[in-house]
Amino acid sequence: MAWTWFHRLGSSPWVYRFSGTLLRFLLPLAIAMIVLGCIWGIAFTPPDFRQGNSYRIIYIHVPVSVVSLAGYYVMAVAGAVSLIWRLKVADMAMRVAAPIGAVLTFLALLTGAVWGKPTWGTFWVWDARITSMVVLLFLYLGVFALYEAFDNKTLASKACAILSLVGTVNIPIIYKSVDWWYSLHQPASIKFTGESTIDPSMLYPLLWMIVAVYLLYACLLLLGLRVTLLESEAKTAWARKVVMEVK
Amino acid sequence: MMHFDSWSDLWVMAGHGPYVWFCYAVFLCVLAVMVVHPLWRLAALKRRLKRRLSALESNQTSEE
Repeated sequence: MAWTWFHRLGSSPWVYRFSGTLLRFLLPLAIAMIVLGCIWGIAFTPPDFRQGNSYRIIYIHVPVSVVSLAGYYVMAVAGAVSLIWRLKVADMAMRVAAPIGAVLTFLALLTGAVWGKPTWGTFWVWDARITSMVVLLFLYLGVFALYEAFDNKTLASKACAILSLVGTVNIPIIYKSVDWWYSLHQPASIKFTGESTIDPSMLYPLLWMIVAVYLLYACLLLLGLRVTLLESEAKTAWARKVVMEVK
Repeated sequence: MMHFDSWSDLWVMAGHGPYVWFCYAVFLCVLAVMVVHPLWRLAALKRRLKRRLSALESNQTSEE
């Protein structure tokens, strides 16, 4: 009985309906949280005593970076599930996760570069953290491109799943890069174990934004999943029913 | 309490304004596109499928 939820995840109409209901309140919540978090971070937090106001970029740079790493695990786990259990929905989730992750990684690199100019004096430096993030971007793009490169889509899915699983080796490297190869990029200020080295007046808006971007990521994943589901199952009875409900 | 004394202070941010505002603008624009794009695609897909479905149905009724 406890495992019935897992079987439901394999049922396209159920996933389609459930994600629709979920999105109805999750999406407005995520958007509201992001807008409020931006206002909080831009105007209502104190400036950093060393970096001044440029540090305010942290409220978008850290959340998009964190979620771009977590998103890779989402993609890899979905790939593993589709490899092992041949779950169609997992395969779609993997494919949907790739472009979203690529955009978030790109945002992390871009905001990092713009933050680097006033702080480090340069937009770009080939240090370990930044280079491994570039590798992450190419892994995301690789999964996306690999799927498009195959005519046989079953084979394409398998290849993508394997590529995304192999690529997970990069995630701990990115995470630990600032400690292993210390250069310009600062190490983490929020720690899971031990005292964080960030003031609560900056920590709370930052945590707020991390939660907000996580929520939005979930929404984007569900939105993409719905489009892919309806597209690939357009000829089924449930899809017809969904389509006929449109005015 | 807002940290800045005036709107122009908020805009200039002691010289860091362009960097900060650029990042937030790009962030919000990209997110907006990422939210709107799948919504728009889903609506377009539904419209297309519905057109095809009703065309199919009218074909069947005319054949009977």
